[in-house]
Amino acid sequence: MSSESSDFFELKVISPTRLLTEGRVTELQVPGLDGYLGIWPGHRPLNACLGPGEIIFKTIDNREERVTIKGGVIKVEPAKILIMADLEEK
Amino acid sequence: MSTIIDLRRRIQSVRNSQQITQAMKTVATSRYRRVQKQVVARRPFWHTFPELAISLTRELNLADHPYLQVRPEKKLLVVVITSDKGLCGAFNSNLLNLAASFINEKGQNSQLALIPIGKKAVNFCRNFPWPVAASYSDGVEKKIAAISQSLSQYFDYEFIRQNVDAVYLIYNEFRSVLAPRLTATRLLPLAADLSGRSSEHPEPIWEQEASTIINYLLKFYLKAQLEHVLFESQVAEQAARMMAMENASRNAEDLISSLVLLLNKMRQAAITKELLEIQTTVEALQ
Repeated sequence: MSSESSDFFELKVISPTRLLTEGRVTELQVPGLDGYLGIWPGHRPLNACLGPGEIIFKTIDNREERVTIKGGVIKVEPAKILIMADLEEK
Repeated sequence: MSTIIDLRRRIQSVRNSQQITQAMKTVATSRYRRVQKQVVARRPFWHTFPELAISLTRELNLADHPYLQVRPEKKLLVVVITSDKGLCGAFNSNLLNLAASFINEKGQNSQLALIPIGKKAVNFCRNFPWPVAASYSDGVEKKIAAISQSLSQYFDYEFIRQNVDAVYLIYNEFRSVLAPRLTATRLLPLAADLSGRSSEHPEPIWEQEASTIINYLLKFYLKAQLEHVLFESQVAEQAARMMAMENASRNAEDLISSLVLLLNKMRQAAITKELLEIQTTVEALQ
């Protein structure tokens, strides 16, 4: 996976109840425990806990999408980002 | 003559029962579809979670995480999951048989506390001398998230403080519509194989302490696992009820057809007898 130079990454957001989103994304903001983290393609591998807030990302066709979460864990790899989100269940 | 009337009544009453079992089957089928849909939606999580957990834990030595500590089993928590209502074949009775032998066996050399979920389990747990730590019944299917939340917190608290050495779950796992699989499995300590470290990627940044993240993840896992098990039991229950009602409807159909045959024979006999009587009377008059 030589993605240092690529301009998108694969994002997958899962929760125990369902797959929230999966697709190519050009930028991402997630609610870290100490404030929002901005993640761009080619980010260094990173592991972090997420707090309550919104995951905001821009898909490859330039649509902005938001997902509200209660908490979670994010794992960033060079070309792939995995977010395990805890949702407020109805 | 009275027997013909009796038979007619009998057929009618079997028909009524059949209508009821058919209606119950329809209800079970639609519930089954609904729960099944949720279970399918949950699959991606179970496909992805191990990948995440393993890759996160690879970089750490996890053997000392409290959730993975195997201690001698002196005090156990046993969760028994059944349905609230009956009429679902051997669904509950098979499970409770397994639970009874499990509890008797484990009870010989350790202390137990029971957590029944579902009305049948609640009644069942009264037969044992062990204390009931918590119990849930009435509309479990609508409270799955809340139950898993509070139980996972409770398990976490008790297990980390070493008040409890292991948590076991006894439930029906959904395998196919035909028969559920009886399962007795250990929830805590986690049996996950998280060993083996290798790092294909450069050393990642840990935004928080690695142990904080792992802790969060494992707590999350505990809750998700409980939810999963409760859902499995729900699907299995609805499938079992569907099958039981299907069988009952079929049996009713068989019963009706044999009763109708009997009725027709009797009616025929009565007609023949009357004809014979008329015949003899006519002959006697001539």
